[in-house]
Amino acid sequence: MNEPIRNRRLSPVTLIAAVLVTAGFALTAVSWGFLVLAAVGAFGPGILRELGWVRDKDELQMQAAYRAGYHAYLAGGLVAMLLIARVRSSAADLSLSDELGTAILSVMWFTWLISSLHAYWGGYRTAQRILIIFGSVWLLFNILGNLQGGVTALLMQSLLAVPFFALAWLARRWPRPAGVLLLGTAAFCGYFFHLYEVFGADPFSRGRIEVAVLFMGPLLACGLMLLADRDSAGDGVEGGLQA
Amino acid sequence: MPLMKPRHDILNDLRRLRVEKAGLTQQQLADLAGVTRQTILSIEKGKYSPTVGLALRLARILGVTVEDLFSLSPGESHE
Repeated sequence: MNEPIRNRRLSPVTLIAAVLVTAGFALTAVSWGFLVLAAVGAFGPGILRELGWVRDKDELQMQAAYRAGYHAYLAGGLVAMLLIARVRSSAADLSLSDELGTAILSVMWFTWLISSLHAYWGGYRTAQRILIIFGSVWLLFNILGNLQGGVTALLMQSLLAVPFFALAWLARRWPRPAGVLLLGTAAFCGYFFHLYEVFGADPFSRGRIEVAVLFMGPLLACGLMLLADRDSAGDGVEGGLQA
Repeated sequence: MPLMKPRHDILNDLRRLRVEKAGLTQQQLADLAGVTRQTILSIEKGKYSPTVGLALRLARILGVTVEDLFSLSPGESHE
């Protein structure tokens, strides 16, 4: 029989991993050598679980982790092959710099994160929460960026976050129209921020791929989840029927 | 949720047996079975088909057979 799994949201291993990843990335400002810390935090727990040294997930969680890993492999592998083909076939002198690795990692991690959240919360709830987080982060950056620009500028800039909260609200009631609107918003963001230049002469310029993943990725993923999921309203750990 | 849809539709009576026969909450059953509440919830909603080991544990906790808990959908039963 399996060891009992404690019903915590986050196991100590996951918490330690999160601290290592956060610290590792933060300390890259000091030295890129600290990226090793982030790597240990990101991949260490999974390796320990595969070796059987850590047993903090039950079978559903392990299945979700395997699925998310497979999705990350598909997305990361596809993007890696396309980028390498693009770079090697280009007449321009594009270098296989660390931008390539960063771009592939960002796609891989984003896919893993979305797939994990989808398995945990279900499509509708994941989309709503990503939109709320997206809007909140947008709002936070606008507030921080306009602290010295006057109240009017602060209010006007902050209004840009409202559509995301409105879409989160809409996704709860009318998921299909919200999904269509999200895909439209993603297309608009792609146009507005010139993210389509990722298909241009130098896809790695100024971290275009990472920006595209960060800006368009959540919107595209949310839109697709709302359109594709048929019966996931009420899914997830918090939608349970407590008898 | 297409990504989690099992290849074969497996019906289950877990929720009814948990509530009516055993009088357990999802959390209590999860604790007894050594899994998270999310797993019990996902099984009850037909989103997840448990392993044979977990199916046997659930059946033993509820005092029923695995066949009482799980069955193939009518279309699958005669194959």
